[in-house]
Amino acid sequence: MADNTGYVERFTLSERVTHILLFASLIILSITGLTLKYHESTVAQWIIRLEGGVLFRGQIHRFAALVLMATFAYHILSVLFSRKEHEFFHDMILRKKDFGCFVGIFKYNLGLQKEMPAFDRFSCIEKFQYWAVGIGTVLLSLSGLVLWGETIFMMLFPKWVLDLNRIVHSFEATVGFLVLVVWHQYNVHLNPRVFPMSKVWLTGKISKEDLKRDHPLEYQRRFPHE
Amino acid sequence: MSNWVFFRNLTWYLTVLVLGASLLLTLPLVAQAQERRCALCHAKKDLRAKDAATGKERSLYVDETVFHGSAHGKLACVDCHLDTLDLPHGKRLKKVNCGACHYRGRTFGQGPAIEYLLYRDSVHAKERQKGNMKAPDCASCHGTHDVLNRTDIHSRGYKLNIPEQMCGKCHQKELADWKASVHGPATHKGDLNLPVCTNCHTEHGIRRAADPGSTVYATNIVEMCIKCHGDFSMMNQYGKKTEEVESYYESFHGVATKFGEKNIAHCASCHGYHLIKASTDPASSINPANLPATCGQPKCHPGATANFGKGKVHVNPHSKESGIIYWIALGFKWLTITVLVVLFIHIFLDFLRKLQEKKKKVS
Repeated sequence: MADNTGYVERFTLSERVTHILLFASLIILSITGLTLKYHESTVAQWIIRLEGGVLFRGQIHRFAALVLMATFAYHILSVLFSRKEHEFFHDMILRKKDFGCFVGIFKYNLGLQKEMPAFDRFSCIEKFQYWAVGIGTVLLSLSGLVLWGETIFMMLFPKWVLDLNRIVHSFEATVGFLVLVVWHQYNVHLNPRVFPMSKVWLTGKISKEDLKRDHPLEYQRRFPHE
Repeated sequence: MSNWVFFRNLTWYLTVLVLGASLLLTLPLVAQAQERRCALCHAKKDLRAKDAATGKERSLYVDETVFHGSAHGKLACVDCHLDTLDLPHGKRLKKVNCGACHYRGRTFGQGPAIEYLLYRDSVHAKERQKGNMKAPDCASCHGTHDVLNRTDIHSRGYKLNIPEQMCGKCHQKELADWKASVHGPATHKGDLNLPVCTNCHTEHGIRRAADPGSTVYATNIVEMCIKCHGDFSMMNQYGKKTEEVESYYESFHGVATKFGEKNIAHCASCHGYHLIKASTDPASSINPANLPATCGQPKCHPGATANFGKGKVHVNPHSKESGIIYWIALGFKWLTITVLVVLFIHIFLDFLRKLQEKKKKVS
């Protein structure tokens, strides 16, 4: 698994492509969505004009949503039918200790605990983000489809459900956007250790040194004799 | 010698004085005499002539009492009928040009008047230019010798008289619709806040609704309605709220209209134009029973069902009255704040820690 350079594979090509499709569609969705939510601000109005007007903005948003949903479907199929991605999913499943590890991280950062909690392939932060994105995608896709076909939806449900749906779509998306932009960007790219950017998302490879430090359990599994 | 000179000068002085005084005294009499000369014919009640434009016979009688009581009562006939060079005038006089006095640069009377300029670009003036003589000019709305100041309650231009005495003379269907609407006099009973034709369509510069310069054009009409419906103190007098305006601007309809989309629901798309009725009225376009038809217009939501009427239309997520929508919005607000606070605490602590590690590594 390890090549001569001391790097080992962390993400397969398919996983990296999935990630790129995911964040590309999310960026477009965020820009087109947030400008609608904050349409009163001058910046948003300027961006909406760049997006070709308020109605074409919606077309872009729906196109990006289709890409996101396709990516989501592709990921599920990969998890089901590809060995590597099945493993990926298996490593992502939340275990009991993942729920307590945040306390450990806080304690370590405050200096109350000497050791960082030991992680396997994915830290609890990464696992929670994965599941947040997954659940968020399902929620936002469903509520987005409702908004897309509002007339058909309102043949079945009263108007107040549509209003509620809009609130959920808008706020859920904002929370998701903040978590991804603030937290994910900091955790993987902007923190002092890897600043300005970690290249793992492009190369799919992680150095053995980083693996040993950040994912000691995986390191032990993969290199039991070192 | 000197006596003679003094006497001669005095004679001159006196002559000039007497002549001047008599001239000054007789001028009004001359003017009045001229008016009397007009009255010789026009005070006769049976004076009639064929109108060249319409071909119908019309009265040329001028009631002097009415004229002297009008806003122009102090003017002489010839001040407006400028083409009367000789009396009796032989030919037919031209139509009076109100713009001779009511022009932008006017320095006398009530000062600058821009009504003429506004009228020039209006649909009425354009129709007349095209040759449609049914379209009104000044006199069609304001009258002729009986023009009164708009503050006079007998004036055609008095706010409450405008619909019946001005616009409604031609726009009869609109007048009937307006009278039956919530904006009509039946609901307002002499209240000067009620909107009449000119409040929405403006006075002189009236344009077609399809003209982008019109105040009732699709992208302008909301601004028109919120002049009153966005005015908190005015709406308060009637026990109404202004939150409909905010909630509209927050809705997809409102945002799209704000960005200049024309084929999106604005106030009048649902509430109607002249025949606006309260939602409690069974005949109203926004009565819950009629909402499926109103929302289900072919261009909007074809196939709309009774579900469109279930729930508040102008829903305000920041108001407790919105029920579950309010609570969910509030919950999300606090969720967002909590998430952000936790994230920033984590980032702050992690940042300090990693910076420390880096320093250690370097040293």
